[in-house]
Amino acid sequence: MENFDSYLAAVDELVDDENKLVTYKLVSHQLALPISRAKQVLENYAKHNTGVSVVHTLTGKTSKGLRVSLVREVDLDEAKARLDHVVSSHPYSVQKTKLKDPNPLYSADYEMTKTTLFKCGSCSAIKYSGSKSLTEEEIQQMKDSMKKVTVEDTMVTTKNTSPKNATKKPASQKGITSLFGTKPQKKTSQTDTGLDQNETNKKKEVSTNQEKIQKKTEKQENGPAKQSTKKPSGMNAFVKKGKIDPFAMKAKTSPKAKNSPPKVKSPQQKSSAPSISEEEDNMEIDEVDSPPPIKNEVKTDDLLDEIENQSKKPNPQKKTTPKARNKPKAKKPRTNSGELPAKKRRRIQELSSSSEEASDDDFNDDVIPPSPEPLMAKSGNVIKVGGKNAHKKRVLKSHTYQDKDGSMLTEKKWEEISCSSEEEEPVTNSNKNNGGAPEQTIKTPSPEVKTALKKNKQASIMGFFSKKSSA
Amino acid sequence: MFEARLVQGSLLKKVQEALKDIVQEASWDCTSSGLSLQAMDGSHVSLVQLTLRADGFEKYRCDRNLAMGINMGSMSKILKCAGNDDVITLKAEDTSDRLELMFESPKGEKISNYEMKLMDLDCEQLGIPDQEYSCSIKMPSHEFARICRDLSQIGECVVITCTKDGVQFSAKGDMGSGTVKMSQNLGAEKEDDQVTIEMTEPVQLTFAIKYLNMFTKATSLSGSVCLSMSNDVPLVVEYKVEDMGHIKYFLAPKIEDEDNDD
Repeated sequence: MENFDSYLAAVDELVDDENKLVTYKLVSHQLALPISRAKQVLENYAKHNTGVSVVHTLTGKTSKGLRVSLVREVDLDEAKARLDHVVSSHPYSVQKTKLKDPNPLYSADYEMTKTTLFKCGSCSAIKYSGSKSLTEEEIQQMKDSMKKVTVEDTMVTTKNTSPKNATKKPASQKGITSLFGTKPQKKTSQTDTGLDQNETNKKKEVSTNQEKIQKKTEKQENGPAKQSTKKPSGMNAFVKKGKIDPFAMKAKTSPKAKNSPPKVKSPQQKSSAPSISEEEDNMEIDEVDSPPPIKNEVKTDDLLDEIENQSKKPNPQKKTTPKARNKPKAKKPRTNSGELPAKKRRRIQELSSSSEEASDDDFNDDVIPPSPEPLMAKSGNVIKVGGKNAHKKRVLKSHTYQDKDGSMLTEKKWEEISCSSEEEEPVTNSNKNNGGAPEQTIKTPSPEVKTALKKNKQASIMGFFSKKSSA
Repeated sequence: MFEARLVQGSLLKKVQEALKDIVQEASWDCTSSGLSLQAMDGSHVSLVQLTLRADGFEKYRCDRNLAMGINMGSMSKILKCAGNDDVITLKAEDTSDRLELMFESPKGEKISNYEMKLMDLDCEQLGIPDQEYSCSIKMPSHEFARICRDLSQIGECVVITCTKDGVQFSAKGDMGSGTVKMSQNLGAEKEDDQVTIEMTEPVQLTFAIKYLNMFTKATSLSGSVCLSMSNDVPLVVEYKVEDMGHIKYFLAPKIEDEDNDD
């Protein structure tokens, strides 16, 4: 019972010295006591210290059912009387002040319960000796397994959702964006699995392989998913495409022709073995990887579009056929034999690369010429000006101007008049402009120059109003 | 002894605000008929002329003509100490070199007294001839202010062209050009909102916008502004000061100069 006294002392410290509202939960937590024991401590403390007020947890039966209420000691008897049958009455809290409203009761243990929410059983009187805590490894394993599950879930969901989205948004561009949207999720998921297997080095290969395998096993829905695996190339191509678009104008026709064979194939084979056709597409792209990017872009894009369209629509025949109508016209002439396209591709690649270079040259040509031309023009101007400068004349001029005192003065000066240059005239004529009204007729060089020289000069207000003599 | 009591003190505050940007120092002429001021800006391109008639003041007394040389910045600072509802009284002894300003709050519970040192200014007064103008345009003052503000973003000069169709303000600059055209509009309900154009012959003049922008500081004084123009004479921008006077700004036009600019 020494312990018990020390408990009482601790409670007394809390209640009396720290002036706290001490609930049985606080006691339990502070003294590491089971709840029932904590209640006993409180009850005991309340008995010994009559000065404190106690709030009781009163449980009882009423006509409506079980009723649990917190009751002040003052109201305890009354509350008990209202119950048909009192099941239990424990002390809930002990405090020095008399409570006027229940708020302190709620707020008292709020912080404590928040922090100890997950160790609520730590002080329990009921123990199970057989239980032991998990080691860190075990916890890690658990987490990993949890991850796997979630990853799989996401995989499934994305696969399921992507076709839905596709059906919702038929626009081709949106389809691409949706692909971009789905892509990262899968990538991350792949990397996660890769991490799990500690094959970080081979991550990509493994993941792509895995995906391929998965897709083979799975049905049409895989279409968009597979595109996502290709995306890296598709993305690059997409980015590059923007840059090289001008060139593509020339190259377009040929790549389309190249693309056409797979297109023709894919719709046909698709029903029978879509995965194979897709693999072929992959192969093609891999082959093309080394040569200039344009083809990749166009191809992959077209492929993406195709596959999107196919995958998006549950009955793809309808929509693929119209496209097939449009594109085959270009395709057919060049793609008569199934095997030719690969060779042709290479040839065309060279051609296209050469055409690219040519186009590059064209571009350079386009870019460079403009700069010389203006130079030429400018230089031409300069030469003209110089020519005019040669015509400078020395002329005796008479200037009339108004003096500061208001008297008119005339001066004769030898001046050089240049027909063209604007800068020199100012120097020569600067004498003329004094506040007064300019009246002179100058030998004007030429009408063109005159207009060029015309500038708005700010007149002074003094020129318009005469001074008052009175002032 | 000069004493003038102005019940609507905010008027004097606004007048001061309208003047202080364009002139730094000015001579306020006090005569028995009223207060007047004429001053040019520093570059002698524009001129402002203020008239406040004696009958506009609640109490006006001027025993002897006075020319009070006033630093407009100082006056502006002091007048800012007056509330908008305050009654302002100006006082000056004939021989004193100080101007007393008294601000009374509307209910009379607060009276502020300020004294401002006067300066000895040697001002040139210009005789402004009465003139018939080819065009006179009355338009809402805020519109004019807006046009000047907007066009000042475009260029330094505004070309005001007045024809019978209307008046057109246009500016050109490095970045482009802008044109605002106001047509005659007599249909507006308020008289201030009407645009009226009276003209005997079309006029086209070029002005520096920065001065116009200084003139528009008087916008708060009046709801409408009157522009008077004739070819090759200064533009007149007139704001009425209630029924007690006016502020007239004169701005010399920019003249097409065959000579170079200095």
